[in-house]
Amino acid sequence: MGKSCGGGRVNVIETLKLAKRYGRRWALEDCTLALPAGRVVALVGPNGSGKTTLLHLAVGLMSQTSGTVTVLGGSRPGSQDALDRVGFMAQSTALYRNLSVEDALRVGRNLNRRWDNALALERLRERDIPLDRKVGKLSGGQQSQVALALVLAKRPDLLILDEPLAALDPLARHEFMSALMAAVAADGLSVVFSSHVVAELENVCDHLIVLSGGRVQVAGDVDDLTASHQVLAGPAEEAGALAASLPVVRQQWAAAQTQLLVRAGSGEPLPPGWQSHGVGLEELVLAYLREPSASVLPGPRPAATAAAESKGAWA
Amino acid sequence: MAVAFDEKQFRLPRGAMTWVTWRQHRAALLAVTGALAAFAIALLISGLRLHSDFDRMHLAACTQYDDGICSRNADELIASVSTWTYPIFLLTFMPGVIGAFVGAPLLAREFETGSYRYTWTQGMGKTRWLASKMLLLALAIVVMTGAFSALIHWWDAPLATLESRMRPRSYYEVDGLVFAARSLAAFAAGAFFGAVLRRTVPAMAATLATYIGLWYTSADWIRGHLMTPVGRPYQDLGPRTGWLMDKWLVDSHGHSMTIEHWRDQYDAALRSGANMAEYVKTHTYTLWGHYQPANRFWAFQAMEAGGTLVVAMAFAAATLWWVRRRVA
Repeated sequence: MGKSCGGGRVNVIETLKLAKRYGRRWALEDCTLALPAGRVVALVGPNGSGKTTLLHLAVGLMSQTSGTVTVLGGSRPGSQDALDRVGFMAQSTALYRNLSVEDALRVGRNLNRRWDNALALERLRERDIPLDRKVGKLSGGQQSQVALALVLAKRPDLLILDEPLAALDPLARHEFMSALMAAVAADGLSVVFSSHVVAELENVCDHLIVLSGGRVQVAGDVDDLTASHQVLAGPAEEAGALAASLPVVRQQWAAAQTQLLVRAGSGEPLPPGWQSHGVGLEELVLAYLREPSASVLPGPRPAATAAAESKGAWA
Repeated sequence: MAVAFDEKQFRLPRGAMTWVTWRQHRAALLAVTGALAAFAIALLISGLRLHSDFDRMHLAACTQYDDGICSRNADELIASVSTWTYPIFLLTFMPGVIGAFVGAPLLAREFETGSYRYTWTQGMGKTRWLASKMLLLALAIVVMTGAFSALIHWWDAPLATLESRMRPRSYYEVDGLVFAARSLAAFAAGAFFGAVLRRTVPAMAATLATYIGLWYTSADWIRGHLMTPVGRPYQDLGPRTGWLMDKWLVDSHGHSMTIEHWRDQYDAALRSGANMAEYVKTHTYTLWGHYQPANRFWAFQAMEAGGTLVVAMAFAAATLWWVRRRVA
């Protein structure tokens, strides 16, 4: 899924101690991230966790209170290079509703140097979207397909989508994600999308960021994250001893049974009576979201901070 | 899916913002054009009659209008277009309407619908997008209001020989340069309030209020002080001389006094039981007037329009600054 493209050398979004304050409330705090190129990055977190703030900072719709953010290997958000090469699809689509699809396309063409009109037209034709219909008169699914066609017509190197699935029904979600994944496969572009829906990420993203309360709680490749976490099930009386030797993300009791979600590879030797099984991405994300004090921040660090800090990932 | 992508397309199309601006603002622009055009057609018909009546009455040959056929004809001509007084008064609100309907929604609607998140993340960028839109709309406004003022100037030409163009609170406000300048100022104010308030209706209200403030400040407060008025005996002044600003009295010794001061003295003499017939004989006065001469019309228009343009530029610069620095 586009992993080969970009080789992971360039970071598509890099932040260093990025923070944004609205009045007295910090929407984003101490956010240091390095999102590798050629991936599909999911930005997950409950409503109000700072996802939109982070994405708006990355596309230059907002300026930060402190810290830095760059895109595509060093461009300032809102700079000409970033505007040309970053495609942004805002939450609940931000298209002009009173324009026809055709006119929306023409507006897009007139506002961009990079523009592939044929690509946009083909996408719309494939999905039977009438060009003469007003955007506001289309169904939610069709509107998001128009927004996707418009943003892909820029031939972006980085595509940022803010909650693209939130307003869609399950069928439209599926159609949207398959269209998005087809585009990723065809063009090898990097994608960052936010979602508060955790269920449908597993087959889609290969890198995960969990935001909680304006802070980064989890960041890493999906494969690494799932490989480095286990669910252990065993007798409750031995749970304490086991928990002391392994980093526990979350503990659950059911009668005499205890379930521990631990951050450990599958090679760990287990006491008798305990068994382990792998963890799904959804289960992992939900466990972290329920335990705001736990965090895991491995993975590539921004070049600027790699030397400065190599704090333990476990908090 | 793989469609050939021509790298040579890496430039903005010719006239990109012209089409975008027209597509998004054509409704408001057409409404303003329609309103002005309706007025213009009525003015054209009325103006043709006014000009032919003026010629038929040989009013151009008259040297004075104090009495006789010239006076009667002049009164008749002025009366024939007296119905225009109220519509012309309404027209003086047109710049405010332009500001409210073209200027205020420019940014406020983008914020209200959230479409700024689309527009400002496109390759053109928000500064160029906003600057181009404001420039193009300003140009359209200047052309429309300027043409309308030219029509008013032609229409008013016969009346201008009977009464000066300096007559206040009338055609002066929609004639010459001030109409277009005020329209620009109201438009820029509308854009500014739209950027700051982020909602269309409050921005429209603020724009109208600002325009009315600007208009009254300019017409009632500043205009009279633009140039030092000329003083002359009142009997030498007529409707053609210019804009009469105030009157006062000069006694036989050459001392000036206000009319109120004269009235106080007269009342005091009356109360003291003086012989009033004798009093009137010994206390003689001449009435004088201060006026702005008719030939100052263009100088006044240029100064007032220039000041208004400074206001317009300030609002436009503040809008750009706000969007570049504060919004986002």
